[in-house]
Amino acid sequence: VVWTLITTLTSTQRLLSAETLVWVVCCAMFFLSAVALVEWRSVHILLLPLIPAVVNAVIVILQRQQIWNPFVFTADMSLRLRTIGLLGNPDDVGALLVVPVVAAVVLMIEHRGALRFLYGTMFGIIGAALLTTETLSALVAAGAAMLALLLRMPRKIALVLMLIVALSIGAGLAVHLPIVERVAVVTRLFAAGNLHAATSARTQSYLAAWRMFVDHPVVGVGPGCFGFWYVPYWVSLFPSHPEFILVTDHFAESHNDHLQILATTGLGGYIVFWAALWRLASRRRPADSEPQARFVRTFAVPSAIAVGVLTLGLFPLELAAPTSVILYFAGVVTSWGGHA
Amino acid sequence: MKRVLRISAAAAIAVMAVLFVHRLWQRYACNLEEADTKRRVERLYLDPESIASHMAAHALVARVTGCIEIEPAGVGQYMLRAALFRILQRPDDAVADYRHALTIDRRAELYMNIGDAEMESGHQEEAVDAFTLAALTQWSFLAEIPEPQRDRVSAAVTPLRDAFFGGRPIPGMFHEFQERIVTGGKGPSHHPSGTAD
Repeated sequence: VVWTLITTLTSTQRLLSAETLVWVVCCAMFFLSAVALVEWRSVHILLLPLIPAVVNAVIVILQRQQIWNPFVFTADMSLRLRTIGLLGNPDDVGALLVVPVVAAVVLMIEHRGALRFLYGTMFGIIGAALLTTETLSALVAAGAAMLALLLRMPRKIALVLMLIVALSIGAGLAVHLPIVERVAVVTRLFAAGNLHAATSARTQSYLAAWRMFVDHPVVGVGPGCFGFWYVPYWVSLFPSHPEFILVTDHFAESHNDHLQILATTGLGGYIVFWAALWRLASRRRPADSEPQARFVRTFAVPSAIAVGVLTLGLFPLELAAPTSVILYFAGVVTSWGGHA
Repeated sequence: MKRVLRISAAAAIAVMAVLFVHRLWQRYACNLEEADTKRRVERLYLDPESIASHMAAHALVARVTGCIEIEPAGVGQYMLRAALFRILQRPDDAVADYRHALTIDRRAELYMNIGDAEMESGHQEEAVDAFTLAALTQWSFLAEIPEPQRDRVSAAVTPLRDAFFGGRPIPGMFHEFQERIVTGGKGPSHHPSGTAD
């Protein structure tokens, strides 16, 4: 909040930065409320963010299978773009589901009997929806978190989880899930060096954000000002990237929160971001056997990795739904984690 | 004394919270109104010259102006009010709103809107200038520019595209456009230093 206030004062468009300052203050209040809410409660308080995630996940699956969709779309819109849960975009719903899928799998591991079945079912539904959205950044983030989780697990549990993942991948390949084709296409584009197409034309927003940071390294162009400065910086890329001239997509967000934080709040903001991630990962009480402490011990590092990776390809920190879920779980880790 | 201070602090926080929530509620209401006004404006544009449309536009201007006061960074509200001004045959006011919107968000369609409104005002040069920036920031807009302005805009922007695609960039060719985008076409200001031309 303090750094946002400082960068709002130095902003190149204070009106927009003031709006973002309000957003950041609201986020801080939400985080503190989450810390207070969960403090003395059982681990099942985690159902509070998991239930909406499951609801969205079920709707995503129904939308993709063309069984039911609460929204009406124009005929020319692709099936993937109609797969949005209760949000506005498949990428947004993908970003929303990443941290809950990590929480669900951790809860599944930490419980036994009926509760393990309950959380396992939640993990299956959220995981299936994540695959259904075909949001690669979200899938890579979830994959990175799962890998971190596996590395921290006892060998027996790790083997079982790896078997589940391997069987899931095999089943996906066998039934030709759309995500398999999408991964293959993107991999081919990367291999051919066509980063522009491989990143869905986002290289221009990455480069624009980087140039904003280079021009304003300490305090950035100002919170909330990426979209405001995008067009002039995009035009400045034409000489080195003439292919951008014919591009019709303009970016209000950079689709990479790391770069966007650098561009809008400078190195100072980026340090704060990394400090928050580090704090999230390091809050765990080593010896405590209470369910809350055990959850945090298993969840903290994978969830921090998930957020760190997710923000490389999307902008969840600019969206209310994913941000509130991330903040809620950050509140949980802070409240139950104590000091490392 | 301590208790009085505590109660005072709690009361102050409560009042601030109520005001804050009230403000957020107003914004939410304006957000809904924006969608509704947009639908109404689209309908008004089916018959923009009728007396009924003028009366409706007049009423909607007051409504949108109220929301602009609540949400001063709401680009959509400025665009809606400008569209209503054009129905009311006040293109100069429309241009002012579009240009103000550009100080918040540099959307390519705003340059198109400015071009159209400047034409309605009879300012042909300003219209060509705005259309040129529209075409530069979104190439597909070139086809939407009315004649005879399109020919002039095409003459200005096509060589830039051809030069780059032909691998013959002209030094400094984009500086002028960048400057005009940054200033909204109103003289020099800070512009991105990373201009590798």
